[in-house]
Amino acid sequence: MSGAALAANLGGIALFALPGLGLTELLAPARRLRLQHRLGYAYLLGVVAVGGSLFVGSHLFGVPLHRPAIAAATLVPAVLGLAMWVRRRPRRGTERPARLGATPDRGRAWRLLAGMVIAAVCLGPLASAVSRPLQDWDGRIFWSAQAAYMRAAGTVDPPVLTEAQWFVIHPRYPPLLPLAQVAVQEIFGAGADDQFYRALYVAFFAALLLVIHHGALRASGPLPAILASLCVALPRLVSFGSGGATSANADLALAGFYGGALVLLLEERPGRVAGFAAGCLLAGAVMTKNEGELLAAVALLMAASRLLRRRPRLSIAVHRLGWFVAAALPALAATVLLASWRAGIPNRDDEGYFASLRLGELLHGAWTRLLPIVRGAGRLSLEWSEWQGLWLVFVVVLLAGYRALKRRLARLMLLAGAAPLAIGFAAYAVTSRFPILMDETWDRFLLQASVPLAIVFACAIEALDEPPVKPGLAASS
Amino acid sequence: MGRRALRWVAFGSMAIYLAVAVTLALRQTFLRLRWVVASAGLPPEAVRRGVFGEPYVAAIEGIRRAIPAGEPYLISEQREYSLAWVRFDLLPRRAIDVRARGWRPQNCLQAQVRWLVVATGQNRPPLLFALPAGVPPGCPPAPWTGLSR
Repeated sequence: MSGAALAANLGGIALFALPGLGLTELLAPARRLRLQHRLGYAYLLGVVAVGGSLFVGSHLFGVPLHRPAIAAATLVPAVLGLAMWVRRRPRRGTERPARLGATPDRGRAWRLLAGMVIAAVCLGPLASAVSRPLQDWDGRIFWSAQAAYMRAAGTVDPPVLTEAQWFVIHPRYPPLLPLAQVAVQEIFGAGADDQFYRALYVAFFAALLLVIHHGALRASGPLPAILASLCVALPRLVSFGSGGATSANADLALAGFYGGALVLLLEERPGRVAGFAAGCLLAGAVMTKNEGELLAAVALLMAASRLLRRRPRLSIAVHRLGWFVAAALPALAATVLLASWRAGIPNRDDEGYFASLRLGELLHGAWTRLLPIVRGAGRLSLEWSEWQGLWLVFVVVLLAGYRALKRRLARLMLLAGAAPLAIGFAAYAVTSRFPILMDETWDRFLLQASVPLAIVFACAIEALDEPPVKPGLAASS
Repeated sequence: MGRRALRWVAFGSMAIYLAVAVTLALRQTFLRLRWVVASAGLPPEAVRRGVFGEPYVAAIEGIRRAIPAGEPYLISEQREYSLAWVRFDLLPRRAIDVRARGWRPQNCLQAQVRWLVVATGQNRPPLLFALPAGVPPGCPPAPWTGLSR
């Protein structure tokens, strides 16, 4: 590994973090976040902004995927954000501080120590990614292969995808991460064996942990939040496993997009700007993996439940509807764009779950395979070499802190965490590759569910810490 | 089990998990940092040789020299999935899968492909064969037929 390769890898992170910071400057709720949380959302939004612009430009307008287009996609949000920052400077003192800007000092030293451990853990995959070539099967087969074809052809619609004779596995797989990879490779002039894009994937790990910390902090308190973040950061699989940070896989990215959108939709005050930020993250989920469309729909359903919860005054109802529409529109636009892109690609070498899914088949498979799937889920979730017991601790803490589930937010997050697992269950019920597919993918669905489940975990830890409510007081409250 | 006992079980299991997992995770970080130190200053080819083995990297280099970046090749495999492993190292060259799957049509282009790569396994050197390719009757010559072999 050379210094130039390290610099290019870190530059690759900045390529998305800077436009993302610009976007968070433009979006008021994100602007008010603490710097570390803001960085997490900035990275995710930056990938959506740069990758999404390249997708639209290349697919709809034929703009080549070369440096000028990538520089424009990066610079426009960064410069707009900078302009907003300069414009706001005289007024910044009057801006309402973040609701969680000041947290009590209890356990500060422990929180600091936990933060340092998390930082050290993140250093592992980064060191691995910049010093070793890509050895992850799926990264080599799907995302990196798509990226190489797109870069060589200078378009998101390379002939390799659009002509049926070429060997491509899952040619219709959503192209956001390959486009992000192309952006890094092009900007830094990578050669055939230069893997300047590896840190791009590792940074999703850090962004995911920051989103978890933000969501858990809002839902519980500082100590449960840092404990939940630390617990998720530690398993070997998350750093070095298939779908983990050293791979070139899309599961951590999808987990970040889905989880970030859930936090903004369920924990932020409903407002059009917050809704739009969440919608951009959902658009990222749609453009990242096949499951992204379903997870975006789940997140929007959860958000809709907030609309129906009370019967507000007409003006408030209109305001909330605006929030929901602002969240739904980017996700819908991404779905349409993806459908348009897929329409030009003959499908081959693809399981095609959605195309072959029949309700009868699903119900039959769900019934006949119920026990093997449940047994497999238990076995894989408890696999020591991958998770080191995380999910066992999760269950124990949730059972002990069951009172957390009296909170609506915790129940919604638990439901949102179950969604990726339910998608996996449906796939296992109909696939002809059962149980191999389950062995290959169950851990990834757990990863995708990590943000909402970590927030539930934090709520349960908080509930453990609460004194029991006296019967008389409970009755009167 | 009372609530108090459950609470202690929960905190206890979390403490054990943290003690074990933090130790393992920090050890992994330490090992990876040692890789960084060991590979500092090495070119990517040298690192690839160290990880994938000299025979595999030499075979890939040979194929890259033989097949120009704009020319496609046919690919097959001796071990399942190994063709996807090898294809990655030959990107962005286009590949046509010629395993006996029976659904991909033979067409004008495939008959003019001049190379066959056979993947033999993960990190095992792939084999390269030159094919007696020609322009079939009624077909236009493929764009790469003008490239020198």
